[in-house]
Amino acid sequence: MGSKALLSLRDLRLEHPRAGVLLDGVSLTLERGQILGVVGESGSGKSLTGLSVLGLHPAGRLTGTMMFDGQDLTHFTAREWQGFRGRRAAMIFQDPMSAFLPVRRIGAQIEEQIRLHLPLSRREARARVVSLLGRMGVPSPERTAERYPHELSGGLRQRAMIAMALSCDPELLIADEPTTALDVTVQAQILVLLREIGARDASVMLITHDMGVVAQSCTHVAVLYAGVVIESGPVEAILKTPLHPYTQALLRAIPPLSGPRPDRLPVIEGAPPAPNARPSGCVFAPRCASVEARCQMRPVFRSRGNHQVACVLYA
Amino acid sequence: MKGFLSRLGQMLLVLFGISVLVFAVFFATPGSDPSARIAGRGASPEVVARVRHAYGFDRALPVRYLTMMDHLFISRNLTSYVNHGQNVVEEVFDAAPVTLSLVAFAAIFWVAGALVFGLLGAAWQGSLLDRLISILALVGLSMPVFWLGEMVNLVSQSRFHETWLFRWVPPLGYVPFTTDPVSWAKGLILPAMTLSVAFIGLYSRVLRTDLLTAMQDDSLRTARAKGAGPWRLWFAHALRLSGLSALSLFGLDFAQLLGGGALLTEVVFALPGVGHLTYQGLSTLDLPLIMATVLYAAFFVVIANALIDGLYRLLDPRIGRGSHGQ
Amino acid sequence: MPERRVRAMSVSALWEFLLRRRSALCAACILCLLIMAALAAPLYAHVIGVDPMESNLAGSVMRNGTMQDVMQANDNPLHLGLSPIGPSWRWGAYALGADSQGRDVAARLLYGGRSSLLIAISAACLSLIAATSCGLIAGYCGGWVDLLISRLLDILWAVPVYLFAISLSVVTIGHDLSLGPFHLSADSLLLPIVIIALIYVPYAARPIRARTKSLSNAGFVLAARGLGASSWRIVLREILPLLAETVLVLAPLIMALCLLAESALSFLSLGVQAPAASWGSLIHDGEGLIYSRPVVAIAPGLAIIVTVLCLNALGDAAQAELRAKGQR
Repeated sequence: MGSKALLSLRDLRLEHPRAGVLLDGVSLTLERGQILGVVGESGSGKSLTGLSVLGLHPAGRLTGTMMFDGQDLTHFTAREWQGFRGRRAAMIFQDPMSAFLPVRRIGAQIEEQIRLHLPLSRREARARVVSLLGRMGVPSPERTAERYPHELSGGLRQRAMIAMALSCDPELLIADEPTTALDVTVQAQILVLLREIGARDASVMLITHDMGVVAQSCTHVAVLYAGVVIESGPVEAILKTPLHPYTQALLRAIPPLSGPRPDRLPVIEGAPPAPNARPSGCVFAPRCASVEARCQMRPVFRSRGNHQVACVLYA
Repeated sequence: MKGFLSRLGQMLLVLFGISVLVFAVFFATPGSDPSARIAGRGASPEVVARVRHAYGFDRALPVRYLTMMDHLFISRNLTSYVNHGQNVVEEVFDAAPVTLSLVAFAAIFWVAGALVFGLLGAAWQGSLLDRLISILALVGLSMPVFWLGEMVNLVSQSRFHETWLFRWVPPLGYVPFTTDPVSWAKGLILPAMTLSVAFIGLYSRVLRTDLLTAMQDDSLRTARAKGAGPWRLWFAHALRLSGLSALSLFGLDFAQLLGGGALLTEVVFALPGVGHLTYQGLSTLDLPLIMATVLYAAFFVVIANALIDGLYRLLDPRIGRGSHGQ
Repeated sequence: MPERRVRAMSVSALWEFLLRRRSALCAACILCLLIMAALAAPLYAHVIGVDPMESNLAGSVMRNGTMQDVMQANDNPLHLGLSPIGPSWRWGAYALGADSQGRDVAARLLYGGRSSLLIAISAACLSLIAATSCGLIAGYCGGWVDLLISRLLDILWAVPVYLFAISLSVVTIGHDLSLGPFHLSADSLLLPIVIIALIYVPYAARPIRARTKSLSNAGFVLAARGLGASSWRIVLREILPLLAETVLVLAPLIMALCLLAESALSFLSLGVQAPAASWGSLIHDGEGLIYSRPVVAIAPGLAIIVTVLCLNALGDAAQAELRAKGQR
């Protein structure tokens, strides 16, 4: 580890009274200036990881540690969370249409967040909104600030959402599937914007199900399966030499860009376990090709080279 | 502009429909002959025939409808069948301020009560307080307003009138605002509260459900992620989002009350409003008076609906706004 | 097509629903008791030995071992006028006292329950039948039929309900009515039933129309149409059974509204005609005695509240059940 980590989650578990174990050992580290891709299938707990960092996860028993810049988030009081959310860490959501309040102007909604956290007058806050929107590449920001969410295109809404998230200079930006609801061309623009933000403004945690998105825009990646981080490390390393059988299978399932098209893509047999029926050993064992007796025990998440991986093959 | 004109057209159509309906109820219901009623029980056929001719009941229905509408809305000189020479339209306009005061007072109580109980119930969902409120709301909803009014009278005018709690209660009746504003307000407080009980019950339930739905909305999650505190979440976000449907409901009920829905309350508390006037017309079978009150009532309802519709458009930018925006 | 399973609308399903929702079970029990009490009204009158329809100003009753007059001298200092006997804790005639005609209030309360409940139940049924027909036709046919019916319902809806009911009652109630082959006597309960049913048609027809509209675009209806099923068959065999749920949930709520409307009309002497009683007309009778014998007005009011409360609770529970079903 070079610089001190901005965010480090250790063995985060979230148990919901009815739904079962939603997070089952999430460990990841995000250093300043990194863009960390959190990848997984739907239901793997990737959005939930992002929400827990802001304390927005559904009620349940949360154990493990969440260290943010030296503070333990798991012991935050409601008031501390209020000052933390939006100020030090901010979140953008998948669908910018439903994420904005439909009945108030875009500008007013961004202004609200600024005035919640910074001692600015209404006029100063408004000026900040306009400059933020401009920086996010929104054309004619003054007029856009006066618009309602439904009057903007999807791309503009997501830019406004990002502007709102960045409005109080947070150190961490959590982006939960920020491009899934957008057109393909707009997706690329938003990803470029996020990459710029990661380089310039804040560390980014990019939650996605799309390995392509990770390859395009992230510096690091953490792979989640059934509520467990099974592998993490720098993007190039993981893409070139995936260690965990699940990551390997996942990467094999992406059609190659060059060369002859395969007749059929390899698939992973079976389905991920439901949150209330997780195996006590390795969560991937039931679907793993190289399963062995030791997989009955939960493998430890340990470093190997510049990777970290949770698999008995590398113990 | 085009939208406005088409709405205006619809409004006129509804008004026309109501007037025809009311007219039909009073003059074309099979088996009910107004001339026989005016002539009185046991009147000879000749008398009935004379009455029929004198009141124009022997003319064709459409002609009578048009004459009636002319007297009501254009020349505005429709006179009572019972108190001859009494201008019915004037009477309605004299009674309107009473109803308006009563309903306005009631609306204040009912909006305030619904907000308090709805927010409390939603914020402490599932708690003992929530359950207590929902039971109380259900009881309020289930009470016949005239019975409640009698109970209020019993307690405040007779049984406990001498106690400190009800010593201020004036005798039943109405004092115009221009005569004495304090007596005006005093005399309206209890009737308005009585009238508002059922509505508080209804609206606090509606508001509680809507608030809880709104709290699950994506935009509320955004608000939390922004760092908004609980007060801001409930008031600036959830209430803003869910208040709209309650508002349109409110408009409808407010209009209905203005248009005579407060009849029972007015009768029980002896307030000479439009509802009371209708009641008077009913007991003397004064058809022009009833026609006038019912039609003006319907008129109020339609106008108020249009107003609320406009307000709704103003508050919810997603609908309407054809002129600018995309 | 999971929706098809809903068809099984049986007594056992109803029973399970009642067992699952305790408030509904409570409400249903109380309602049953009330209906039974109302049905037993003649029995009660017979046992007690009073005629609740006949004024009894000169009568007397055995109480606390002494014969007391039903109408007693006032206890005000001047001893002017007579006031009816008050309630007593003893079982027997005049347990709830007498009204201004010297009639037994308890017996009249039971008889009043008969007419009130009868009117509420029949009016709700009639209203729902009419609303279902309107909603079904409007929702299924669409186009101008829908437009026409919806506009008509809008117009009906714009008139304040009580005002509308009162107007209709004024012109029809209180004198004999001949409609072609039908002849209605002045004290027939049919008129209030029809009037009250009519005013709540729009209330129920709107949700039914909306549900029909969404059902008639559902996959299985389109499939049935694709198979060449006739419109009649689709409406009767595919849509109506699923609509039954919506209607059943509405039923207790409509019944509660009908009961309240009936009491209001009778309170204004426009519903059940004297000497017959209903809870509303009993409150009217009690109005004059409100300061001296308040129980005459209080008792029927409480009866109304309890009934309407139970009906509303039942409707609430049914609605919650339906919502839970939709989530599953």
